[in-house]
Amino acid sequence: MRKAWTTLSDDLFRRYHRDIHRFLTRMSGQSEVADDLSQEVFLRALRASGNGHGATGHERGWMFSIARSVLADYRRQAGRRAAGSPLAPEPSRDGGQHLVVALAQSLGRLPDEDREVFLLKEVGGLTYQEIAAVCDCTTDSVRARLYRTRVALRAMLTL
Amino acid sequence: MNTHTEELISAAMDGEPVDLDALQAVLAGAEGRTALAAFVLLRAASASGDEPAGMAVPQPHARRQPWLLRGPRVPAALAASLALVAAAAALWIGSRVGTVPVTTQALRVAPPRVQTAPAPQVASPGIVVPAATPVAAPRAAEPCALELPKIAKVVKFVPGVDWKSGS
Repeated sequence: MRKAWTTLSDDLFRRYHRDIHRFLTRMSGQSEVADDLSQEVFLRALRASGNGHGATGHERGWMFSIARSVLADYRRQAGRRAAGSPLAPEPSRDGGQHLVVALAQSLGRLPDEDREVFLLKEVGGLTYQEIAAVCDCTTDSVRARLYRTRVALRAMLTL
Repeated sequence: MNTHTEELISAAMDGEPVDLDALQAVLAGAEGRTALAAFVLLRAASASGDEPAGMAVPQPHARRQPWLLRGPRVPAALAASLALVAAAAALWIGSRVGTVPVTTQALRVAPPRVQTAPAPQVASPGIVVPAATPVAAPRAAEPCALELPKIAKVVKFVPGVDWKSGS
């Protein structure tokens, strides 16, 4: 039983941890908070799987639904909205540090709904349908929000 | 900037179904290609940075971690309770097997009595004064695992004598 649990947890962790952590970091604006929230996401996922309530369809969308829920719980407990100024990310090995930092700062100035949809797409890699399921909206709404966010970011970053 | 151009390219980038003829026409122009380059750059920048530090795979018992954020109040109280119970159990066990420390046994001896002669078996708790003649070791009320030292001196409490003055 414990071996099955370990195998399942390793598998989920390996496949989703990086993206989940990045999503939570960009949404919360704090890397340390994202560390704790990421742990909670995987614990909830493993518990749900153990109770037979795991993902029935799109696993990736299910994981990000949990991440979204954990983030909402954190905000509720903290009694405030997530920080509007995301943390400047760590330098990437590929370079382009300036753009990465500027993007993180620009994201912080966007509405939560638009930032969330953008990150679910760009970081989470979800389809429009999966994003719509996670955010409880229509695919047309997802399409419009993504396009609007990209245009806004392009203008802020003068790309 | 043509919103239709950007919207079309945005959807195409995401693998969503779009009008291919319209897409081709948009990409044929500089405006379309510039928008495509900008969106690709945004995607690449989003995928960079924020690498999480090495983290262990969470285990089931790790659920206890969130309380750490609120402070270790419960474990401290629990530890104190356990220590108290352990101390009480140790005392009880010690009393049953006769391994009570000397000081504890001395406290259970009868209080000193005033006598003229002979010297009392035990003068007072903890006070031992050298005596001229050796006195037999006091009988313990219960069997004691420790060998009590022989009393070398006895103090006699005589009525009317100020025992605080010099010997």
